[in-house]
Amino acid sequence: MADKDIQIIASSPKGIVVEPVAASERLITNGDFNVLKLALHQLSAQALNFANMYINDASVRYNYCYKINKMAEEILSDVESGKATAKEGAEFANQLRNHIMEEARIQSSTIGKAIAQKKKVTGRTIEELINNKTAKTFPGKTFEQLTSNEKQTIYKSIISSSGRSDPKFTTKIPKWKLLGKGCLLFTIGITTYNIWTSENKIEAGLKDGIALGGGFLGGAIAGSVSGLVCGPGAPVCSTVLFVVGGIIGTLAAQGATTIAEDEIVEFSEWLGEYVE
Amino acid sequence: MLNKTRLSFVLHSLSEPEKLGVSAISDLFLDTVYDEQDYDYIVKRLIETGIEWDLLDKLYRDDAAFLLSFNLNSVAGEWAGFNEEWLIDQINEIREKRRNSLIVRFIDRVLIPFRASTAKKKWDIIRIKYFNLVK
Repeated sequence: MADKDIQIIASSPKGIVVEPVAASERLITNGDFNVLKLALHQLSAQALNFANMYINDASVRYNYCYKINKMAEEILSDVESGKATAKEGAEFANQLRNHIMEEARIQSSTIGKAIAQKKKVTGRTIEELINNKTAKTFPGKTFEQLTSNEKQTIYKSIISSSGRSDPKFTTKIPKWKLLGKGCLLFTIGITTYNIWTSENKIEAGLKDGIALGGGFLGGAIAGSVSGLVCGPGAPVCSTVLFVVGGIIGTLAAQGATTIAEDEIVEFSEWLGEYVE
Repeated sequence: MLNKTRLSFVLHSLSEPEKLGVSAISDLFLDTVYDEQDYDYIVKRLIETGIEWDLLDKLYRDDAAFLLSFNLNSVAGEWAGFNEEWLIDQINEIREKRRNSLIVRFIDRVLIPFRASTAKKKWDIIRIKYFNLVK
């Protein structure tokens, strides 16, 4: 019975009828189980990478909204107190918001950054912004035709709007965080299950930790080189690279655990686990 | 029944009134807070183009929303407005790709409802204000 197992062939209230089956005939072979385990590792590593992406983007958006709001308040208060003219304030607010915007885009996830780069968006210049605000606030007049007070109104309105962001989008932050936490929870769930159902729990924990770390590292490396590999503004390529990076990272880490199997077993024994 | 007019694309390069139309519509895709004055100004510019509502709706869905919806989902989107020259170039490029390829037209037709939904509430406000003024 060394390489044989039993298979249930019939059952009745009196009992079950079983017969031995060869290992190769089992419904789930050891090979299938390993493939399933590998797929679960891959899935949990990808979930960890996406969790990181969602949580990162949510905090970048939160910081962005906070910074621009604070910036506009401070500039407006400097203008009110006479530390700067309204014109200087409007120009500075425009520059600073654009600067904070660029900074936030750099900090955002690889995919978000690639989409922004692909579009190569060109925004309105300060002159275009002034003309637009003038036409909106004082219809039929050009900026040059405005009185000094009216010009101040336009400048101050530019400063105020530089501190505003789309509230509809900002309300998505909690959802992103939830999605990120959901992915994280999924990873933790799969990993806990793997460890819980293993005979040698410390050894399984070490192997899972290495695999997850490899996947995370793979995703991070892929993200950092996506600009180099895909070129600027290639969201599809960046997404594929991000996912493939995670997969390669997990596979590489699993390969490393196979090579260093003896060391891991020895280490888990040293940590107090009895390994047969 | 499918609305064939709505499903067909306008494929020529943007005409002068259309340029003014997309420029006004593009202001709906900014990372900012909108007030009544913003909506009124957009409607005023749309009426001044002299374009019928059906074509304005196509400009919104097939051109502006298709190109700019990403800005409403960006961590740090454009806030001051889009440069007109950039906007016109981008839309003409999109139209040219559609003109030259049936596959592009098919893919874009599938994507448009999703992208158009990003600013749908704002576009509904514009529609109500437009018809109030046009009546």
